[in-house]
Amino acid sequence: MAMCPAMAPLLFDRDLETVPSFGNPEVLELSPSALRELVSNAGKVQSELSSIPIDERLQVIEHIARRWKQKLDNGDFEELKKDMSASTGYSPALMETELSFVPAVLGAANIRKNLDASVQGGADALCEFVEVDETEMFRHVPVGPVLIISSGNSIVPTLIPTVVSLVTGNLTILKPSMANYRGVCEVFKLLADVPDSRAARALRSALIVSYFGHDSPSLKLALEELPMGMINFWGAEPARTVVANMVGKNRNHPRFFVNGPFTGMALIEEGVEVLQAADDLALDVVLYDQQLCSSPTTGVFIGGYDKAKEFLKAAGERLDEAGNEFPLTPDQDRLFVLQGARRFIQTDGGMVLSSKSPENPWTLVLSKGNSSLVNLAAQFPTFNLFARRRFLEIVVVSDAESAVRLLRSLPEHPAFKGIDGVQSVGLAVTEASRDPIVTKLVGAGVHRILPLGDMFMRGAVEPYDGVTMSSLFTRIVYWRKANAALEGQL
Amino acid sequence: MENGSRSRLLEDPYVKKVWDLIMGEPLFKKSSAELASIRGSLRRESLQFFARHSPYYVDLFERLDIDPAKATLHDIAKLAIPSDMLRGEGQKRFLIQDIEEGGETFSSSGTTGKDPVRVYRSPVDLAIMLKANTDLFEHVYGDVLKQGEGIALFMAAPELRYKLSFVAFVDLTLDNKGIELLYGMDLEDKSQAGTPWQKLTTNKENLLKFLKSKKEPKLFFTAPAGVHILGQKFETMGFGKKMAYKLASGAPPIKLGKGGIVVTGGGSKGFADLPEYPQLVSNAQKHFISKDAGGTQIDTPFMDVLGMTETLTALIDRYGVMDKVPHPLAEAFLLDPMTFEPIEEEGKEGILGIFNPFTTSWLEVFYPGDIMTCHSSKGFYGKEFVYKRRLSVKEGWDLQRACGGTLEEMMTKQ
Repeated sequence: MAMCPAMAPLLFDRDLETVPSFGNPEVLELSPSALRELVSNAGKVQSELSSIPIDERLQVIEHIARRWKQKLDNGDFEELKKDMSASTGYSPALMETELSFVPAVLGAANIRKNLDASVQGGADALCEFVEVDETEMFRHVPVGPVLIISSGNSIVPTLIPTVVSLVTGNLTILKPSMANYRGVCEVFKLLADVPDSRAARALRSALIVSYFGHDSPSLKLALEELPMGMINFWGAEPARTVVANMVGKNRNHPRFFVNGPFTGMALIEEGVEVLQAADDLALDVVLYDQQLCSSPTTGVFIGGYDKAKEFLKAAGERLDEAGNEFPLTPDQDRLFVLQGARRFIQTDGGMVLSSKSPENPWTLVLSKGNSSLVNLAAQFPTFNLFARRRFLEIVVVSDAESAVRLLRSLPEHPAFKGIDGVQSVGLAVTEASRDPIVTKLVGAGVHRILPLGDMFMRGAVEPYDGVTMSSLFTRIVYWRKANAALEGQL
Repeated sequence: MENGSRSRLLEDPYVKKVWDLIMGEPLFKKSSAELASIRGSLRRESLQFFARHSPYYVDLFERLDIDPAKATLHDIAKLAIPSDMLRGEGQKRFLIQDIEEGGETFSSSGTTGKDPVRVYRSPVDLAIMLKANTDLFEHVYGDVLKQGEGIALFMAAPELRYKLSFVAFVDLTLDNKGIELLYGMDLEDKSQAGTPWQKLTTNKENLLKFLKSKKEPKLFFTAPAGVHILGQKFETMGFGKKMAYKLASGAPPIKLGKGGIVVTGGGSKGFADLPEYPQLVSNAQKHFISKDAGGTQIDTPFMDVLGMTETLTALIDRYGVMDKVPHPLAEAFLLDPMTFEPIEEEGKEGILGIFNPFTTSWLEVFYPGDIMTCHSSKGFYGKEFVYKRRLSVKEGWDLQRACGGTLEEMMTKQ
């Protein structure tokens, strides 16, 4: 049974050297020499894992999912919920929801569906050549070793790339954050409980979970020197550029892919069923308190101001209900800043509806034509996108063109500093408008267009920020078996 | 004062009413119930005045669903803004359309590293500020400041008179009373940009003049840290130096004479390790000696002023005698830190809100971020306030967001 102290690497019985993390002696991380040793064995580890049929690999992950569910049902994660709630600032009820998502994320059928949709030739092409055209064969091989510097404030977004990297055959080094470290470790330590098999051994030997401090010599070594195949970074500036510059120095030229920072936008049109749209918006706002790149942090209402006011009122009522199911721990200092921001917007011409409950401090702002938050950033610099929770402005515009213009301009908006653009758009529009609006959105830089109320939800086959995740972690070996007639193809 | 009395704004019935109340018979003789009733009517008339003088307020009241003619304390609480909103040019939007020129603009010390709070005071506001604060000061002091009697030392630089409203109020008041005011500090390098507090040095000449003066009463104005540091300096002086200092200045101890008093203000800005105020007073009373009107030596009285740039009148207490009280016409109230609704319960901590209905340039209702409690009293206001602490405004959540979504690739909708 692998031990997983609060902040020590998860090594699965491997004898690898750990050292205190730079600047935080109570946290252990993998030493530079251990990391070098690990990476030097990557070829062997990946070769073994890649030779195992994909369904056997998936069954190991499925076993983790089943064990997790058993433990969750037994109440074994009560302390974890409390710890995660404290470290992330999320409601304990949301942590409960998050932990219940884990089995679905690790479910073999879902992963298989994803791989079949994203791997050319189907999931089987991950362990054998598969004919894609007459005499032409594809086999997808791991690009690893892979280093994932994962997202910070919940478990699930960290599990996704890690699991995809693993099942596609990569030696995978995962660096979680301080906030989600324990939760992530609790999931992957279950790999040690999987009954012994070639696939289980291969997956165990392909995974390392270790924290690395910002100034860690090991992290520097991995990014700048070691023959890594892929660095997957989740997050925003300034870390993104720092990491990019370090990867740029690496003579092995690993792939580098950044997920985020994006945000979501709700697009509501006059004429839709108000209560349904309000309900959907409330759900998308409350789940994860707008901390996902898919969460709506801004909204547009296409229609008249009075109709928008009606919608706002309905959305407020729904936020009262939805938010009370995920109560937050009240914090005087944060409420003081929030209240100041609300007053600022009110005195700056915006209409503000807000909650009276400190455990569910939602705020809705209604503005005509243009955002009322433009001056907010200068007056309340700490009340930035990352600090705002359950806070949404809806700008009333007359047509879809104006809505798309607001969407495009969001990265320049001072209150949205730090985002690259809008990743997800949640639509609540009339049947007649839907297709023309979608057409406009296609060219507006968004990655996902969804029904409102569904923004947080990912389909099994969905790409990720515009690309399929399996393609990040694999490359295709092309094999033409015979001198086939390829006339007309080139 | 003269400019204020000639203000054309006095033609407005509301401004005339406020002016007459402030300049008229002493308000402190009225009962607390009578004063509360006056404040209630001022509350409604004030909002009507601002609606008459600025379409901005008409729109604001409408959006906040406030009927000025029926305004309650709850409505005032809805209108209260955080002081941070007055930083830089923040006050501009709140000024009435027919704002009168010829006043003064005050700014905060800028010790927080942000843009200072800047507030314009029209001539009529300045005149009201002078009279209202003097009346409140004398009431809490327990006596009147007699014309031309006494001497005061303010441990600030004279240049700050034109920047900081507390310094201006003391300067104007003492000037009005013909009491000599000495500034105990100089600005070291006036040409450098930066915040004024960082450039202050002691003006030894004025300090000695104050210490050696035979005038009574002696009024000593300073930040709490000033009293503390002076006391520490006396305690660590060697015998020889102490003797030499005593020969030169007569101190320590500092004799403040009949009616002498120490007035502190400005809180603990820049000093994290100041003792609690009662301890600070107790330590300082070893080094400051005062006498009552009959000439009997007493524990030196301490008054503390809670005044900020954005308030026309301060809240003042007298240590051991009364807790902080506002001017009789000012509305001081506490807001629940969680809901921002007004709270009435005695002893419950709340965020202090201040509404000064006699300020005519802008609707002066704000909350600076101080946590206080209140309790009932037999004094003119019916209640007194006790300072507890200042809210520490943390940064937002500093964790990275879970970019990219949550249920992600593999989830299918249940």
